[in-house]
Amino acid sequence: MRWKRPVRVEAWIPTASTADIAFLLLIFFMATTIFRMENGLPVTLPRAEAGVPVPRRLATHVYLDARGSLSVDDFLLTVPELRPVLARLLRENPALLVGLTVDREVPYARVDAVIEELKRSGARNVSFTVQPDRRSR
Amino acid sequence: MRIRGGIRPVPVIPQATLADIAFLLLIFFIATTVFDTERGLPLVLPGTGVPPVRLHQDKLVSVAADAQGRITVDGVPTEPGEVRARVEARLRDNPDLVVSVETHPAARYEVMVWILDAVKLARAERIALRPARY
Repeated sequence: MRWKRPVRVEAWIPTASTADIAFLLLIFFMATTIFRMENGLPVTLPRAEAGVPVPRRLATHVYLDARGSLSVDDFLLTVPELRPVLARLLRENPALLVGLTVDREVPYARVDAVIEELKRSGARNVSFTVQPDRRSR
Repeated sequence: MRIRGGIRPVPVIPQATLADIAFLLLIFFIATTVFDTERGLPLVLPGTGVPPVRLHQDKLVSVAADAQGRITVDGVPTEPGEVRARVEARLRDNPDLVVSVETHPAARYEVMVWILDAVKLARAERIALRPARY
C-alpha cells in the first residue's frame, strides 16, 4: 500500500475584511461630522466654570463684537432691527434658545440693550456663551 | 529537447494597500473632526407681560459691579474669587433669596459673566439681571 503525502495547508491571516471595517468607521465619521456653517463675528469669549453644553441645533446666535457690531445668523443688524428678526425666529420655533455670543470687552450697556430687545421680542431662553474654564479665579 | 510548461500565475488584484488608504482617510477624519461643544450660562428671562416684582432688601442678595469692575456683595467690597462663597453663605441661611446681579452700564461684559458664573456655582436658582443705577 502506498501512503499519500499529506497536503500542507499554508497558514495565513485573512486581511480582506480589514478594509471593510476601516470603511465602516470612515463612513460613520463622515456621516456624523458636522461642519460649522455660521461664521458669526470675531469675539473673545469670557471664561466661566459653570457653563453647560448648549445644543447648537436648538439655538440661534446673537453676536456682539468689541467694535459694537451686532449680527444674527450672519446678518449685520442694529439693535432696533433685532426685535422683528427674533420675533420671526420665535414664531418658527417658540422654544428657541438665544445664545448671546458677546466679546468680553463690550460695555454692559450694549448687552443690556440687547437683553431688553430679547425680552420685548418674547425670547425667554437665553444662554450667555462662554469659554470653559476649569481654573479658579 | 523537451520544453517544460511554465507555471501560470493566478491573476490577483492586490488588496493590501486598500486598507492602508482607508486607515489614512480614517485617521485624517478622526484628527480633523471637531465636535461642537458650545457652552453657555443659561437664564430664563421674564415675559413681557410680567409686572416687576418689588422685593424687600431681606429677600435679596445684591451683587453689584461698578464701572471699573469692582464687585460688592450687599455693599461689601468682594474679590471676584470670593463672590461664590459669599452668595453660598447667604443662600445657606435662606435658599429662597433672589440674587440680583447689578452691573454698571460702563463695566465690561466679562465682569457680569464672572458674577453670573459665581452665582450659578453657588447654585442660586432665582437670579435677576439689571443695570446698576448709581
